[in-house]
Amino acid sequence: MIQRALIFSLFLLLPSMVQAQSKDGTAILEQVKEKFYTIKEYEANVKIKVDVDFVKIPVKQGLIWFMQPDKVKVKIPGFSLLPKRGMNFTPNQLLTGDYTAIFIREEKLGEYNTYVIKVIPSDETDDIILSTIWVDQKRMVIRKLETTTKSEGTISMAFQFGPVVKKFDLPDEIIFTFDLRKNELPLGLTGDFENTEPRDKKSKNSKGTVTISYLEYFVNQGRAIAQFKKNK
Amino acid sequence: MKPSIVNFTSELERETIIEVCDLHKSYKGFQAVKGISFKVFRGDVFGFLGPNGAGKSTTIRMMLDLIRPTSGTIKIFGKSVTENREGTLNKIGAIVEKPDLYGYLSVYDNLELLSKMSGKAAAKEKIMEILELVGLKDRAKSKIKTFSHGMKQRAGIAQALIHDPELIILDEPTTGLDPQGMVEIRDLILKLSRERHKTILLSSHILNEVEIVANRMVIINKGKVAVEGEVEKLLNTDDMKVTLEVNNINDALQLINNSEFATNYRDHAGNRIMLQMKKEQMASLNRKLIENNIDVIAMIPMRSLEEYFLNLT
Amino acid sequence: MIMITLVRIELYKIFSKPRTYIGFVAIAFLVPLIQVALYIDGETYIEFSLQNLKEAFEFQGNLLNGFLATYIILATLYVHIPFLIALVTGDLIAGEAASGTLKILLTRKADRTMIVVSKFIAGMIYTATLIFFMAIISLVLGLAIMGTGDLIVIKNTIYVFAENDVLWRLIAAFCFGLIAMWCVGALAFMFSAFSDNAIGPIILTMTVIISFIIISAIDLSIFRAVKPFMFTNYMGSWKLFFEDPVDYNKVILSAGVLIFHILGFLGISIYHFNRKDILT
Repeated sequence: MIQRALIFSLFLLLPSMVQAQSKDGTAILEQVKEKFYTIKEYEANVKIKVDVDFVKIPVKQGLIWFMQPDKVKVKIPGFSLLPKRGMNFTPNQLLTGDYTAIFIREEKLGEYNTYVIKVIPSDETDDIILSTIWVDQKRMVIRKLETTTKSEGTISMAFQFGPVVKKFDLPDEIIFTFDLRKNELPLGLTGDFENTEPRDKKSKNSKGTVTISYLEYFVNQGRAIAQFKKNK
Repeated sequence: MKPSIVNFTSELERETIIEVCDLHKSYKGFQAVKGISFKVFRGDVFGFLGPNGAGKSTTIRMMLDLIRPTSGTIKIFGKSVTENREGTLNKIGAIVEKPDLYGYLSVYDNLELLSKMSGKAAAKEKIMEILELVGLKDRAKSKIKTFSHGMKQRAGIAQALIHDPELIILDEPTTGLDPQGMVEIRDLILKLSRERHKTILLSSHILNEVEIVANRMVIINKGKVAVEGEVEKLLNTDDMKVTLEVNNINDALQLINNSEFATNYRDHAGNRIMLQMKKEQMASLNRKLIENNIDVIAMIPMRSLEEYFLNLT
Repeated sequence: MIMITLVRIELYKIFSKPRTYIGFVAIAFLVPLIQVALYIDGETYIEFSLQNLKEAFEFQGNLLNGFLATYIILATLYVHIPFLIALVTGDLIAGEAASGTLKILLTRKADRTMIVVSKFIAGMIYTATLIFFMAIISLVLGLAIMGTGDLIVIKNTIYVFAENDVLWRLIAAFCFGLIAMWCVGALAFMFSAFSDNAIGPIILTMTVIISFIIISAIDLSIFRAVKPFMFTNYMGSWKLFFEDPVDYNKVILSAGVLIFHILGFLGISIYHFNRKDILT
């Protein structure tokens, strides 16, 4: 339930052994998908930081487990806000079944040269309408993902990697970005009668980000298997 | 029998316990007390008399520093209460108007609490002794709110005595009591004076009540002193107003005018004749009237001070 | 006559009166009621409060816990606690004047200032006892019914405090709330010094507090000008402990204003009582 999109994102993040010389969108994504399946399971120590202008929540530390094909579990002590959009995605949603991957262009994203690929599911009943993926040309990892869904609007994710390419090139950080309506609750609920600051009526919307930092991975070591077995 | 002041032959030799000098009190233009002066000596049972609204309670409150005088001085034990609170109030026990105590506490608890406020908590035995003195020993643990008026009055006296004061000020202590209760309070006052040598200031609007127990008194009216002195001298029987009620006024008048009582005649109305005479003369007049077949329906003597006081009230 | 004896006597009188226990009974009834209601329906309250966040976030963990219940109970400080405090402190002098016992107190050797101060201290002790009782019953019962967890505080900004970061804030808030209630008690006490009946001070105190709160809530320029001078404006500053970071300058300022008012009310009480003619 928790954020199957992590599977999707990780699926897309694995480095391809094959240099993407070809500008065939489908071929690039198939390579990335193949690499994804080399990760059977992992456990990761994570830090979750929420950055919304009207929300102040402490940085939380916890654990994330993943097991193929789409099992994800998050354990954060206390209360935490996890990005809803994007976390519910699975790579299977996007790359299983019929889809069309169209190479659009090459684009410089920050300091990285990327391929911009659009993915359109063939099934019109699919919740996903369109996805745009920026694939690092050199490292063959996903740097950015934007997906527009029928149910949850547009999801934007950015992926940060360490400078050194490891065996399982998993991201150090995923940054989720979204729009949300500003908090406007009646005084009766907050009891905030002493607040002298005038309410900012102009900016009703604000941008928010959730940054998940992956501090340490334990890949294919059986930790996630044990965790999911426990739940049975 | 009244307390006698046998050890003091003159005022100069007596210790002055209370000295009130030219006392005034005004409330927003209304003058409640207009220059009262008097003294109370050690051992006195001092009657402080006056009709309702004369200024008695106001004066007493000023003595106890409950009200500040507009002008004038009050010294108790030679010191001003305002300036020497600890030294004076510790020697005074008082009931001011109603004997109000804490209704939600028992009389025992009230006394214990108030004794602590006087500086030292009274021992249980002392409290019970005081309660026995005022006749409340059996109701020691009863809450004040369950007491009758008379019992509250006694409880009020008990709180005035709990710290063994030298001076006791009682403001109308018999108000609302039945005749039996009044007698008991009067006996208590006499006992305190005779046996425990307390100095007592007793305020009242009933002359008879004060006459029985007091040796000295002052009468105030409309904030001023009207009369002051020793009770015996003030209430002498040498000069009494006698109202004589007879069955045959004409015969009685004729008899009186033709007798040694002619100079005593003052006035007559209806069946009543008013005379001024000494107490001893009353018996002989009575005898004379009866010998001459005149029925004496009533012969009511009134001392001049009583008449004066009656006019005030 | 030492002060401690007088204070003990006053405390004895306060705790001998049935009306003193009204506050404790009210809290013992209200607090569990609020907690049970929250236990049953608290999720709805939280859902409604965070509805706009649900568009972008998924919530994990339990926000409905004893800490949240305690925070909500603290927020009711404005409403019923001032009345329960005025009920007792407003009666301290006026009640004795009405019942006639003031004169038997004042015909003892303790001077008027000592009597007033001892009554004041006793009133403040009663207030502290009531707030302490409220804190204990809120926390203990709340944690027993709903357990611990992170605390969410919803103002214009939504604050979430980690579980290990909550208890000290609640304790600090209760301590500040106590200062605020001392101010209420001191106000009622001052009115009591001017009155010969106990009802007047209670009604007057509540009228002042409610009027000031209403004036504070109405956002007009003329009211904004007087707002900084109204002590009620600072009574809610316990909420400052539920911000991150805590603005300690504001906390100190608010506490200072309240303490200034407390001392001022006491000073006026002493001044007036020393000059007052005791006519009852």
